[in-house]
Amino acid sequence: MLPAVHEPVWNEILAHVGVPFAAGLVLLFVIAASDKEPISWANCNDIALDLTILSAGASGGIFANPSLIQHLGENAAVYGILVILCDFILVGFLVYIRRWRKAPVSSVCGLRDLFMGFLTVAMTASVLYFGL
Amino acid sequence: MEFLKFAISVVAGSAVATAMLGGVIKVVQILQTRAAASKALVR
Repeated sequence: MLPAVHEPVWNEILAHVGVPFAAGLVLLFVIAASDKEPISWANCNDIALDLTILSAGASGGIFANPSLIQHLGENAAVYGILVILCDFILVGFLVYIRRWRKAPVSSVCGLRDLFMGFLTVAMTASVLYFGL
Repeated sequence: MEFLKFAISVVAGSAVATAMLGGVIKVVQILQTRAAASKALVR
């Protein structure tokens, strides 16, 4: 058991790394189980799109939290709309990349898509972490 | 200042999570390739 001084650090790591990683891991296994082909870097775009949809949905519930509304004040709804707009901007980038990508997707392109998907989940989790 | 902390946390957290899931994808790829190769060998 770690001392109480380290608790916020672990909470922060859980909010910014643990939650997005767990969501990505679940989606990875869903896609690996449902696809006949072996998993490849091309699947990262699908995982990232699912992550953005997940975080946009979670944002709706999070911004209805009374303690978050109390902390952010009357601007809570504005912050909620901003977070969801950022999600949609990243969805736009992901769909654009998917439309114009070349056939063998490299690991760099796959990781870039994943990073954009994780940004949305980390943003939603961070709003909850910093807002409460 | 709080916004800067928020932005750094989001970007750094996403980068770490991307690296971790990238590693998992690579491992799953290797396992699936091995499984397919051994299945082909049995046939």
